[in-house]
Amino acid sequence: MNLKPEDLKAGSEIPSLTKDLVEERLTQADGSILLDEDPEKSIYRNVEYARQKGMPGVLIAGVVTMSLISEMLQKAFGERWVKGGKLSVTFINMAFSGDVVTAKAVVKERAPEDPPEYLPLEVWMENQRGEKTIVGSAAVPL
Amino acid sequence: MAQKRPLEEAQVGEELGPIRYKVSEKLVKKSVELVDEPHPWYLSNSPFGGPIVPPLIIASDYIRAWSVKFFGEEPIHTKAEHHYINPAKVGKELIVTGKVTDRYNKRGRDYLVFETVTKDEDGLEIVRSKNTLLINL
Repeated sequence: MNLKPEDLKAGSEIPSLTKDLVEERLTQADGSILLDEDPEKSIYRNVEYARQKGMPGVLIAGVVTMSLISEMLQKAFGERWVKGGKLSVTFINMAFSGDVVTAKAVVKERAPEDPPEYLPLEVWMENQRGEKTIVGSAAVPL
Repeated sequence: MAQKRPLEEAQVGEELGPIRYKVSEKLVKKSVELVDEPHPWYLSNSPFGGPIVPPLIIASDYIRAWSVKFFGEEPIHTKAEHHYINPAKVGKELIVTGKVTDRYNKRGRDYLVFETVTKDEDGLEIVRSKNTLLINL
């Protein structure tokens, strides 16, 4: 896609990225495997164990959902994102297997504290119910 | 290798790593299976001279760093900051170093903050990260 950050204005929406969080694939994700030593007793890898803990499916590791935001920005800005991009997020709600999540971003109004050499973005992730699971900001080098 | 300790015992100032791992094509293919339309730069050429490593692999570096030293029951990632400095190239060895930089309690729950730096085998800085983990859900 290769959007030019210098051409974007506050309010410009970045093309979103939607993913179906399929359990089978995600339990083998790097972040899931590294987080738990015992796959049988893992809220990240064993759906039955996760349900015993009151979860609707396996918990999707934060690195997995966050990396979808990075994917979205890489598709939008290409080299500009890969060399110099900054991402800062807070995980506010859990994402589970079976959820469909959408990564979104919009150009922010520049605040005095925003470095002039970067385009400031608001980023977030929503699930299929429109609930935000991640909120944060990103900065793309101009 | 020293026995792993529970995350609850991590102390501010404790060093993490260096952890070395090689990003193989196999690891990349496993990572991009999560994504229906993986970016072509991961599996074929890129403007950086060869395929580059997907963000999911790099994002997990802080886990690589603490999980060889500590174990945790149901740790939850609560915050993340990444500064992507250079793309990592597939086939290169990556080296992760870091430190436990903060520990605090909020509303009865304990949190740890890890700061890590990933470089490649040539000393090229790849990413600087700061991640917060809730260690006792």
